Amino acid sequence: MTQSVVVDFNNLPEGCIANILSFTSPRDVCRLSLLSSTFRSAAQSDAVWNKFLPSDFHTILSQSSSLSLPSKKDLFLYLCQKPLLIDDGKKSFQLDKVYGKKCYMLSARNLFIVWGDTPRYWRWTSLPDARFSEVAELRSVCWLEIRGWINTGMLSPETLYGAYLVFKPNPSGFYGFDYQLVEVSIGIAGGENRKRTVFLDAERGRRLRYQIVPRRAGTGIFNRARFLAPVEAPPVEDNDSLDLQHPKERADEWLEVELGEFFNDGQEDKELEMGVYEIKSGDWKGGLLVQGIEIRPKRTPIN
Amino acid sequence: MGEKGESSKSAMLKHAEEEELNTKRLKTVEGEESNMVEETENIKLKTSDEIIFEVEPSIVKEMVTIQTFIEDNNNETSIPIPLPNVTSNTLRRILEFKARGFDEEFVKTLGMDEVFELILAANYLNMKTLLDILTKIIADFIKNKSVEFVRKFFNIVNDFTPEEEAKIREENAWAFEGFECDD
Repeated sequence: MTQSVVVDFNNLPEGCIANILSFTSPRDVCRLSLLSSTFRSAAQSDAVWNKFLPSDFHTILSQSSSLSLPSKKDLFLYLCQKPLLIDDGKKSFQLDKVYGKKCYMLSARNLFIVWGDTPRYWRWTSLPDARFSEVAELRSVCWLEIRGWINTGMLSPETLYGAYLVFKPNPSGFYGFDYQLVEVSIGIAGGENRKRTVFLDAERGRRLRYQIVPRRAGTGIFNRARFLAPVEAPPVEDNDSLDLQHPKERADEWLEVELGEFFNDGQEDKELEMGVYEIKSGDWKGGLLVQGIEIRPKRTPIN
Repeated sequence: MGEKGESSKSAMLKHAEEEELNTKRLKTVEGEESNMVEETENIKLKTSDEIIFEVEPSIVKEMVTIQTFIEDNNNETSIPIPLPNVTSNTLRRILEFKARGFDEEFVKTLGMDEVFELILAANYLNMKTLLDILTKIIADFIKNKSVEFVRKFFNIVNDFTPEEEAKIREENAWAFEGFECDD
């Protein structure tokens, strides 16, 4: 199939072209609308964009204020651009532009936060740069436990998802996380959980990324470590592990740290449970602002 | 009387034998689809180049256009049904494809011209399974390719003015950002 075609593609009926386009991707469809006016017409058609929208978009949209947009393409792009508040403002919904997969963020109010209702430990405030009306402010705890759940029926089938804690340090009073390993997990509730450890201190990640990490603790910055934390995390080998273990900055200027990944086969509906725990050390920590847990498709899996 | 009785008896026997033979033939071709067919006659299809094919009714059932035509004409199947948009080569390919259980790998061995002819024929005959497979193959081929590549390969005439092109590019800017094609 390498020689140029004699048969004219222009002869294909627009319906056939629309059908072919619907098996590519939103991006391909938009680019290929440049080919000819027939292609553009096919590329704009509802038949194509209907295929990229999730099959239950009507139900999802009914949970939000009514939207009326002229075409399915407009609807698709709208759902990709801005997160939509659903479930009484407790969750947000968005489409991933590349393949139209569903993304959600569970707001802090939608999570189970141990001691979350005790003002001495956690407070609830509003921040202008958060998408939800409230964020949870950690003042101080020794028992950190945050859990969230989402039904896999809400997710796109045949998709690899990643879960992320969306948070940032409180400019005043962020402490106790710089040498503190935090356990994160993801898995089917009541089933097997994948556990990892991360740090919630982005500054630590930055330090390690730009310094040569000695194999043994005891030189340079790690001198302090010997006195402050007798148990140091195992030395990090390379940038990839560093990336996974430390928070990254998001486009919305919050931080996120990956809790793990989960492949949704789309068969039976199950409850997916995600968690963040630091309950072993007994050390006090505080100064976190938690917006929520985001669940979105991943491009490449963790090794 | 006795003779008539004998001849009608043997006629019935012969008919029964024929029916059994036909059903057996269909069973061997169709495998598990042995319970559907009442008609035992093959359907005659005449391609654009005047060649007549005899096709099993179960295969014709997948050609929704033809099937509808037959039903609309009181199941009259003795005269050949004209297919002005399908050549004998294409119909032969379709039957071959069907006999191979719509094996995708087989399609990949065909030239693009043939694939196109097949799409046009499958579209005209309204054969969903075949059309879906062919559509997916072309879609896989054009995914992630540059506009220039697809245009050149399929000989698509660009009927946009430079201004129109610029406008479309701008409207869909996000689709071009950071795009690395595998031409």
